[in-house]
Amino acid sequence: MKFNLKIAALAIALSGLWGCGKDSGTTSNPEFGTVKVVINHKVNNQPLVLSTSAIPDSLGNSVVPNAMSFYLSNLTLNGTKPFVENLSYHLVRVSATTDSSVFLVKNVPTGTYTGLDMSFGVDSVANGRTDFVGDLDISNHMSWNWDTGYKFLLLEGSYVAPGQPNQGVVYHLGRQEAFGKINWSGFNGAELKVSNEKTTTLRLIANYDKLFEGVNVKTNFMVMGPGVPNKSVAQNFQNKVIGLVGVGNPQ
Amino acid sequence: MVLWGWVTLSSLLFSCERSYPLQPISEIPDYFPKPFPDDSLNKSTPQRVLLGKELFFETQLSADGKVSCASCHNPKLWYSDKVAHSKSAFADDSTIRNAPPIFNLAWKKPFFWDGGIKNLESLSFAPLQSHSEMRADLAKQIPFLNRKVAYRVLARQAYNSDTINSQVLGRALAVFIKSITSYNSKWDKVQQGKSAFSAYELQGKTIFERKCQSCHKPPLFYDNKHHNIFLDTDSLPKDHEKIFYGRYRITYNAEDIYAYSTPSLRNLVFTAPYMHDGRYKTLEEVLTFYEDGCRPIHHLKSNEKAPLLAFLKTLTDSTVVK
Ligand code: HEC
Ligand code: HEC
Repeated sequence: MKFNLKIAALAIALSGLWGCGKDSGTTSNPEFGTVKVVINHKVNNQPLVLSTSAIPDSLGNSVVPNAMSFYLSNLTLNGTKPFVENLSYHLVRVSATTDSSVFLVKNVPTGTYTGLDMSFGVDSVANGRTDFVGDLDISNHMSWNWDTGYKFLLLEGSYVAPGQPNQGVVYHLGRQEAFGKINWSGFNGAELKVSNEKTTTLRLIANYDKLFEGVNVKTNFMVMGPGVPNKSVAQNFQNKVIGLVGVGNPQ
Repeated sequence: MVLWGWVTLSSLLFSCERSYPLQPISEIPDYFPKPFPDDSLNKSTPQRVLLGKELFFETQLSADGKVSCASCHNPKLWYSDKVAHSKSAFADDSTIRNAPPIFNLAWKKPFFWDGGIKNLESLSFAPLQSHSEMRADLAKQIPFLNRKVAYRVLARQAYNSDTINSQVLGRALAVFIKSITSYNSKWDKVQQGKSAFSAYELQGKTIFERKCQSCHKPPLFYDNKHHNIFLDTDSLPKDHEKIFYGRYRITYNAEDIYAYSTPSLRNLVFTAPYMHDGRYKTLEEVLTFYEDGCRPIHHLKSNEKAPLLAFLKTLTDSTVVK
């Protein structure tokens, strides 16, 4: 391509204009710390193993997930001075190699917090477009390209029932009806302390035993649009799957 | 100095052989409504148009390095193509729907035949990632673009970003798409008092006003709505995520089954085949469809077709082929 060569030459000549003088100072700020959120994925009190673990449905048959991810967002730490995380969208992926997922909440003002608010999914503002970077980046394959918006939870796998061939299962939950708030007014009796020296750990659990409670996956094996299965599984996730274990404050 | 750099860069880019029907939004005629305001996160600037234009013709955005946006949206055909179903990267798949032309989209919302795309900033990811279109893996394609200094320079100029990322990609393409406007037809010249319709065209205009313009509303000749015009009457397969159900796949409202977005009727002579699936090869076939009296919409009499066609042809803007 002709233009690229010309441009390249010119760009080199001009490159002095935009000196890449960005220095990423890593000096710790005395007023802020980091909270590490660890989510343990479990089924039937065992670590969730992709392609192996079986999640029951309302008929007592099983869904064996091969891939699973979801969004937790809009994180707020409550206390006398609440902390609202900016651009708070965390893509949690169940990994093939470990049963826990981790994300960091940075720049949290040091101090003591008494509770936590989060959302399941992506709020209507961010869900109205998909041109974001970071955890919402389109290349994470968590968006619908032909129906602008994000998949709040993606589960793909197979349906296993006795005496039947395995059936593919696709659950892509989303849209406003699946969005929901999760809050914990305390950290199981403890307070969450943030210091600028050591990272605080917040432990959550995702126990999938009740993910499909009340949902017949045999008849609803492909869920990608609005409706009862979309809402029910999303509500199960918010009310029965995700839970708080506790905090590991800096010692 | 920076300004000088910008002017030189743009003149170099514009000097290449492609010709574009780019008419600044600021020069749109006064009988046009106001376009939707710019996206608050993505204002239009000349630098952004320029970057978007380069990306629009970039074949390296596809999995086989051969398909660009322009493969299906050819500027010489008002950014449409000649086939009902366009071929994908590797030419082993094709689109289920017809590639529409691209012009006057600054007044449109939502996008795609079923209105599933809420804004232009999010639109490009559909063709980029679709199996039946460019099949890009952005995690691969984007680093490839960033190896070219030219793109990094343009990303810096347009978005103050060190590199192209998916956000810069989607936003620059949106600004370019919005910059494509069409208002140089005979119909426009008549509005401006610079030309007059023939008696035959006037006859067609009267028919159009009675039977067509409730949906194909001048001066854009679309209405930003979806209608079921009864092209499909049988229940169709539900595969491909209900793509054959029109707007219903987006809204899940029963009245949206088989409803599609009203296309503009400007530049029809360039944009065959017609309808969401390109089922009609000629305008005569389209008018024959509208003649069918069994459908619950205004139907045409057979002697109305010829004058109506003459009127539709006054909506041709030939600046694109010059
Ligand atoms: C393989 C062919 C193909 C390629 C490549 C392609 N498109 Fe399209 N384009 C289509 C089809 C088909 C549609 C209709 C989709 C629908 O409505 O479901 C479409 C629709 C559109 C529309 C919607 C116009 C409207 O009126 O709603 C725009 C804008 C557009 N494409 C831009 C692009 C851009 C930008 C690219 C490159 C990133 C691109 N296209 C690449 C085939 C293609
Ligand atoms: C009720 C609203 C409505 C009316 C009235 C109407 N149209 Fe349409 N027209 C549409 C819709 C919606 C489509 C797209 C349908 C599809 O592809 O499924 C369309 C498609 C077309 C197309 C194909 C354009 C393209 O780019 O594919 C032409 C040409 C056309 N109409 C001409 C006419 C004419 C001429 C009349 C008057 C006789 C008319 N229409 C009346 C809604 C309407």
